[in-house]
Amino acid sequence: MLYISLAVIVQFLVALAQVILKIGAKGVDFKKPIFYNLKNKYLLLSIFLFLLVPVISVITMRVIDFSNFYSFTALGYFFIMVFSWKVLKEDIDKLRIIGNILVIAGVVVFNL
Amino acid sequence: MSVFNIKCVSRYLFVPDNNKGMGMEFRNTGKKNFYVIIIVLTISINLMSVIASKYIGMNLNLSGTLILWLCVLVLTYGLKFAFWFILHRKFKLSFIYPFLSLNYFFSLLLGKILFAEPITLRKIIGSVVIVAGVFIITLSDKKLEVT
Repeated sequence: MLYISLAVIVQFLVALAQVILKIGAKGVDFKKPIFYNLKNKYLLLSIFLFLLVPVISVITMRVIDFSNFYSFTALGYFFIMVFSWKVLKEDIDKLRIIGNILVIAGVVVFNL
Repeated sequence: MSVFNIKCVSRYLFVPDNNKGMGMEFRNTGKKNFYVIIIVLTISINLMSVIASKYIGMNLNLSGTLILWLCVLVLTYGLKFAFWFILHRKFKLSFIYPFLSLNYFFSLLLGKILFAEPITLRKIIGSVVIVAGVFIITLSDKKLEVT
């Protein structure tokens, strides 16, 4: 149960890293000096998460089968859609919802 | 019309949205092609990191092969970060992220070629459903970030 929770947490962190990178990337101004952009805390946090995710993944995969672990990636697409809607306030139209549901369903079928 | 023709793909991806005056129209074909190449590279690099993880899992004992694949893994993660940075500045997250799922389709082919893994009916159906989902997402509005 603990390792299933870890697999869910990994997918949550994957989605979180993408959202934070997105916020950080939008804040980067190439006209300003590089030191100004290096102070972008969202960018730094996303780098940390990009490094953390493979470490937790390896720990989780030592106990869960690779194929079982991979089946949890469908959750990543779900988290991304929720974050895009709630955090980034993106307009999620019907086509995007249907497309995402198909992607998640496809990932589940692929990994069954 | 080949789907692998980059001009056709970029023209398709960057169809102007219904919301005019939102800075969403792409007129520069060179830039369109640039982003299509970045999307393809992101998918390829992600596949490469999965292959590296697989090889690392197969060679856990400390050896030259393990170090080589660890270097490949670190490099692919660095490139992945850079490519996502570029894509996030241009596209909405809910539009661009599902493209990554095309990996499953390509991993099916690479799994067969590199690791002689069987291609099952379930995996074929899963891949077709994923590709259909991504195709439907490309039809949606408001793909690009407001500039």
